[in-house]
Amino acid sequence: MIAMTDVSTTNIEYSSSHDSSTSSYYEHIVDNRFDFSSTISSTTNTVYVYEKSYFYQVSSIGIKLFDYSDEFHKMVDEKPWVTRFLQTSSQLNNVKSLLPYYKKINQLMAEEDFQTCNVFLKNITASELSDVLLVGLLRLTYSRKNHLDAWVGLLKQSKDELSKRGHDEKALLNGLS
Amino acid sequence: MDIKSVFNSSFEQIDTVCLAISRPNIKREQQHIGLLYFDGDCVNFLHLAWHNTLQQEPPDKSYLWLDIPLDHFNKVHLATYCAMVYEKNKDGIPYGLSLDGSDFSEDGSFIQKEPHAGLTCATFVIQVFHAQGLNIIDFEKWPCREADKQWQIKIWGMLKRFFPNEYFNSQHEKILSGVARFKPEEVAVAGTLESPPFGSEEIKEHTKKLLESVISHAHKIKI
Repeated sequence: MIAMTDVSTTNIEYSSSHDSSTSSYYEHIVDNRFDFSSTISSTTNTVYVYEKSYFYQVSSIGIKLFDYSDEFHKMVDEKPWVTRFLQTSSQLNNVKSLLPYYKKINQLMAEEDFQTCNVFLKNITASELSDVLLVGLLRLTYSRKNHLDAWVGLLKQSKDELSKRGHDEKALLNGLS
Repeated sequence: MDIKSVFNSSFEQIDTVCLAISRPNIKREQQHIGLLYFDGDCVNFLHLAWHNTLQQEPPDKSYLWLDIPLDHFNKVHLATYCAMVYEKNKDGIPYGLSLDGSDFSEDGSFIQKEPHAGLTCATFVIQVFHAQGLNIIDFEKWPCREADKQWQIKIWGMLKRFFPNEYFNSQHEKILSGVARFKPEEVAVAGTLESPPFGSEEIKEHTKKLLESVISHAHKIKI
């Protein structure tokens, strides 16, 4: 159970964007009917990303964000790739689609912006990641894990999620500890 | 070890990423190694060809290739990292006989932790794997062998016209102080057998067999 501290709905912006490259329309809708100071088990701490496909068939992906801190929203505001990552993270399964995000994440580490990288790792949800990302994010950030407080938490989340998906998490995460 | 060549397979059939090895010149007892990976459009051969010459090009039939015992997810990750390493080091990576002081940063850029650090084609492959927590070599079980020193001195002699004096001299100092050599065929075996990392003795027999195959292939295609 992770306690939500210093959180209020004012931290959350209603935003929308139009991604012309995929002809999709996204909007973030925040369920604010409940008290945000409750724990993560509450269904209130959920941001839904609704996607209208090219053919106007509506599908939705619920992304659970466990930290509605100012710093995360600042990051989303300043780095549009984070929103795109959250929208597509479950589908990033090949070199071409992964490469742009790998570059962005590595840029943070190369610039030693560990704080931002930490906020990013802390706010992603393992259940929303593709199989490759469950392994790849940890390997990519492995060499700087000592600077990243969120790394160990992501490792645990990834282990659980891989196991839940029926994979051998020990073999997949070999060498990472 | 499942060794593939153009005679029993095709490059299009590789599973995302694998290791490729050849004897570029049949008259020379020297192998070359690199990584083959599929980037979504085509298969690339990524290798450290020489001093400051990191190349990515379509593979040619002189190479044998061996699958890496990794699951598909880790393979896709490693292939993506290969693409990043190439993008970040298009200006090349220095050649160096010792692995000491060489590393890749998080964004795939080569970094020298000590002056004049560099890589060979084989240590380039080792560092790509190790940078991602995929350790294939057990450095504790890799001694400096006398025969390797002779090879290192021979190569060192060839470096003079390429390297500035200071660089050239530092390589000599390294050799004299004792530097482990990682042969391309050894790295190929270490990267393709189950349950790495390996010491040199553990893979001796497999290395011998692979080398025979590489030489035989070189004769077959008449390099």
